[in-house]
Amino acid sequence: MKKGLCLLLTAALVLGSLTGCGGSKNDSSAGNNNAPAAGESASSGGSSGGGAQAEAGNTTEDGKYDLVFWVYSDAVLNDQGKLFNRWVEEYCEENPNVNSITLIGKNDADLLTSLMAGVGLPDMFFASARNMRQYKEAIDLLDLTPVYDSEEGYKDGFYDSAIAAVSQDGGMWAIPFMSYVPIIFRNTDVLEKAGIDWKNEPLKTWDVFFEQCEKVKAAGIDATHSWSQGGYYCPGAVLASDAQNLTVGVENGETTLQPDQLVRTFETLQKLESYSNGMSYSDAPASEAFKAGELAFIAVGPWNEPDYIQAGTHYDVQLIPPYEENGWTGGLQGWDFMYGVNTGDEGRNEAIRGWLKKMGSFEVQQEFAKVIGRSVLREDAMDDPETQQTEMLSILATGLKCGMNQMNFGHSSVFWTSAIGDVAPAVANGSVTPEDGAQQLIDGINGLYAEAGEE
Amino acid sequence: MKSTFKYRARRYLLNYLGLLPFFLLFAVFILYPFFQGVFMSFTDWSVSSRGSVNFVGLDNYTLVLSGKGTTSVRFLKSVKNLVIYVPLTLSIGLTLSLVLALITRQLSQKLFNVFRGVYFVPYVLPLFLCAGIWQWFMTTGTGLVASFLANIGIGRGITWDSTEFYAIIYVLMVDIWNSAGFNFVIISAGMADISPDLYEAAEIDGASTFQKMTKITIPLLEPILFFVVTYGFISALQVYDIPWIISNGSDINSVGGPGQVMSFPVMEMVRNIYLGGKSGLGRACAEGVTLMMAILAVTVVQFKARRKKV
Repeated sequence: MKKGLCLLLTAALVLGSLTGCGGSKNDSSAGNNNAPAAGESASSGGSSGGGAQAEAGNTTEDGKYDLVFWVYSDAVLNDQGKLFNRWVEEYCEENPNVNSITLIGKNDADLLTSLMAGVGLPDMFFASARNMRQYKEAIDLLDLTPVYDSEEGYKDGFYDSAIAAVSQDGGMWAIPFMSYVPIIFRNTDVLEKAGIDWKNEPLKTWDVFFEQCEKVKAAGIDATHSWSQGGYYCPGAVLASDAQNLTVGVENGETTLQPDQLVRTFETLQKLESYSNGMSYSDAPASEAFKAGELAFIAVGPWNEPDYIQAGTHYDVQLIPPYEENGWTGGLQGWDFMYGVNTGDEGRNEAIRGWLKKMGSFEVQQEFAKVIGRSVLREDAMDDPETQQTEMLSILATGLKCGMNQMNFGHSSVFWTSAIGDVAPAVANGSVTPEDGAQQLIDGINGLYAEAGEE
Repeated sequence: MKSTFKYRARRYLLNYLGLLPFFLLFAVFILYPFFQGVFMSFTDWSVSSRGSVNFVGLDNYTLVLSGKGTTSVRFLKSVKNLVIYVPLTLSIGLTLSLVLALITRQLSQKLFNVFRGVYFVPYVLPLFLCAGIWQWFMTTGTGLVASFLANIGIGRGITWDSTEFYAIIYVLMVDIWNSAGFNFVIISAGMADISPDLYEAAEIDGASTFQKMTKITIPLLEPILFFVVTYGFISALQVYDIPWIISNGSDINSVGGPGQVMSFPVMEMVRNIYLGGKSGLGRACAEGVTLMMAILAVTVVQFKARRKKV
């Protein structure tokens, strides 16, 4: 009896394991009596090299497509979630061959892991422009050239640099969507206490910023956080405000930057440290200190604004200042793109292109900017007076015309500006001189290029 | 011979079948990934390989261990950090757990239960929460622990997460705070198994509390302590979560903090994976195999040392 039971249980376990192994294929074809399952259509497309292709979505009995779109988790929550849901509804109504678009919240790390697995990819995904080169090498990305060519003027609406980033090898591989530059939030209550007429004293130059820091310090309040701690973000912003004097590029696997071009950045970081409370910009206590009126300036992303509004903080927003009046600001730009995956099924690919075209349209990008308060990569949408209704969007539109990109988006996998995060703390605390720091930064950047094997 | 095999097969077939699911799962989820990882460490596997990988011999190992290039410099720095971290976390963490167990075992059962609950709470907290709490504690200027330490002259004016050596101490503090409760529970459970007769006999012989601890409790706890040390070694060598959360900015290159002051080998493996560079996954596998060999060596030495002692 015991042996029989044991045998039965064993058989059930083995059978269960085996059934589990093959379960996904059965599931994916369930309900698709006539139409091929997504995975099958993908493989029938047959791309060269065995690259990962979309497998996530299904096709319904009547031949309609169920698309899957991986997005940042913010895009399925609150206002962004409502916005995307409405766009999905509109798109499904406009396109009878699309049954649904399922939005799944993912982050860049999840996405890269899935790429490595090479299976279970979505039809479209919204991800950092920093990884575009890796995506292009790892996945059979969908060529979106027909999207850009489908309507006159469509392509011209984007920033030229964004179009250059998505264009390579005779194709166009993404839709430029979201962007950001670092922003200095000024606590206006603190500025008033320090006797600063903040309404008439914007941060026109670094010198003005230091004068205001001095006044705040004299009033017994912390002026700012550390600009050298917490990675590349703040020191990169300082570096970007000298972008006009930098010979950014790579030749023979080495950066074309010269050490003497970087010394001013490190001198500025050293000076900033003298007004610092020692916290990193990303430390929660720094944010709390700003909200509580114990910190005058905080350099963070525009996405922090709702937090300050909710806390009832009185503030204004400024770009990272230039060295000379009306000069270049520290707009170290970060970008996010929307990509499509080649499913091998032309009908499905068309549905994907259609959705991505909508995402790149003036109307969608303008609405996104207005509702969410984040900048987008359509220049016509950002420059439109209707978009620039808020101080933040107006300033972001200016910032996007200045500074520099975090890296050569789309064409390189080397996030070279991140190397400054390694050097900045040592220069700021005085253990390394600005000149030596500049040389260390050059060495660090060259190390990253060598590691990536890029020339 | 043949008939013995047949006889055994017939007699034990059901027993072997009963073991089959375990071996199947073990082969699929442990052995296969293990051998695949070792194999891939000899290839140029990367996210852009698209299924085709080339055998590169020992190139990945040379690259990782040569001390030349960013990957190697970072990895060797992480190993150096590990060499400092492992003995410190083991010795301090275990001593603390043992002392706490020895002290609280002297208390009444009710009080002991209270302390056991208190010490165990950090262990059940999610690690990101532990790291988050400690980030508040260790903030320069305002952090509770950082300010206290600065007042007694430790780490005055420094930023804990970006200063050489202090960054390791920072990880150490979070780790010990987090794991001391687990070790405490294991050790105190082991202490509960020691027969009270031994203590009674010792008391009759006039042994002091200290003598009872050193002559009865600690020697009889040896198997438990061996488990705790071995387990602690293995998990300390794989330290990852806490320093990752503390030091990770929004980019993969900031992992381990400036100058990799808080970097450990597993973090470097993950960095190689997500960096997406040439042979990135192959390099990560080579680092993984190197780390595994180190863990294996340490564990074997521990077992051999114990056997000799016994």
